[in-house]
Amino acid sequence: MKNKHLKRFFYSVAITAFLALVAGNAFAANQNIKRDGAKTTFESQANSNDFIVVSPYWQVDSGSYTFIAVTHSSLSGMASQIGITINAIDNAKAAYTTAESFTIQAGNTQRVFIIPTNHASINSTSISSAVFLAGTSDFTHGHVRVNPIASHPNMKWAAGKLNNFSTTGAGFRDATMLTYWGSVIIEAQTTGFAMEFIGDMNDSHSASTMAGVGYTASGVNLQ
Amino acid sequence: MKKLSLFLMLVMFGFGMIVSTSQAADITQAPDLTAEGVTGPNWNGRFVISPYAQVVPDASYTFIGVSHPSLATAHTSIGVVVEALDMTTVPNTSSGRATVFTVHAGTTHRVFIVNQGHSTINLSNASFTDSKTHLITTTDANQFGSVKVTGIGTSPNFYTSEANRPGKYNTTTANSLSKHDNVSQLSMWGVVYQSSNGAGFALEFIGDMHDSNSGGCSVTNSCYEAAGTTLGQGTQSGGRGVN
Repeated sequence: MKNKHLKRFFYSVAITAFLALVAGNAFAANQNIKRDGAKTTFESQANSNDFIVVSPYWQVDSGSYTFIAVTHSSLSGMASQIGITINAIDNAKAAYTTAESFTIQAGNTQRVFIIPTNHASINSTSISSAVFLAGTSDFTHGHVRVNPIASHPNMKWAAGKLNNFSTTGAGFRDATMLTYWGSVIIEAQTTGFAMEFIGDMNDSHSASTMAGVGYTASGVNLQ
Repeated sequence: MKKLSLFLMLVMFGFGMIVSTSQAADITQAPDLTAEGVTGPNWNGRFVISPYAQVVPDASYTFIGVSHPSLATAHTSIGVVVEALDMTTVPNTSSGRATVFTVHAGTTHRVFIVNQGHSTINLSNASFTDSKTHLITTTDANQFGSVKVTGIGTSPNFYTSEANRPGKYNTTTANSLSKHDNVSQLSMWGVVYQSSNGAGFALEFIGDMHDSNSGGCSVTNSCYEAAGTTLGQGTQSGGRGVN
């Protein structure tokens, strides 16, 4: 009889261990590395959807260039400095030029120009405070991708410490909390076509009530 | 022994369940800024933002229209502060870079961010001196920055009744409508205007009537009102990457 109970006890241990392992595996499945970052370190990856901002189209040629403004609106919850890497990718899937990285301070606006090389008036000499992406002088077009510089944009940061939930000064170093605005400028008429940014403060959207994997936000402004 | 075994089985089953719960909680950590009901200038629900504004003396300026569409859930008057950020204004102080006004139901206010020496848009021109037109003047140098609109109401997410503000909201059933003193009840439109060709680049407003995001429902099933650029854990929010 005693042996029977002992056997049951060991069975229960085995079942519990199995349950815990299954739960662990389910968690691993939920943690989609391409969306949320690495499973154990929570480090965002180059293609982690949650932390990327994209713009579908940019263009340069002899009569046009692309202008982007990136603003830190200094809202509550944002780290006072947020670093981003902005990459103009051409339609051949190659980088138009070396990606530019910079840090934006609270309340500031950083201008980014995607221009043909040797542009007469829009260049780093005439506009020293701006960031420039200059690849070739030929007609080139593609899309823009913005990644955070911070390894853990999903964790609050304050006073040099990750996961700091201090009520003052703590914030996320998250590129998606910045606001982006831009145009493809047609120089002859000083007119242009507005750009669209997906994933920034304006367009991003968390799936608030979709706790499980397999659901995704879709459709027009789910509000 | 039998009872002990059963007890241990239950404890370990519970442990197994806890393991799954705690791991799930760590997957992502969305912004968790304030508890429901917290008010004050740092609460993002009071803000509308626009990413870009520009002034090139006598060549381009920024125009913003702020309207009160007089919807049922909006207070009949909503106060705002429109502020030009990261620009050198005249005077270059917190009051110089901002204009404060109240938008009444059905009215539209105009805000110009323009260089101080602009040849036509100035306070000597009667077209720009009425009470619904506001100028934020910058120095006569190229300027760029962004716009932040702050609602004067400190509790934008909480409806007010006759007890909070004078006047009943419904003639038949007194005080039956919930109204909000919330900047997201206003609609905003704007442009960076090019004087040379009369064309411009449309501005984008985040947190106004068009772009405000409802707070959604939390895990405790508490649902929140629309709150401008709210960033809250467990709610629908801005700032979470590409869908």
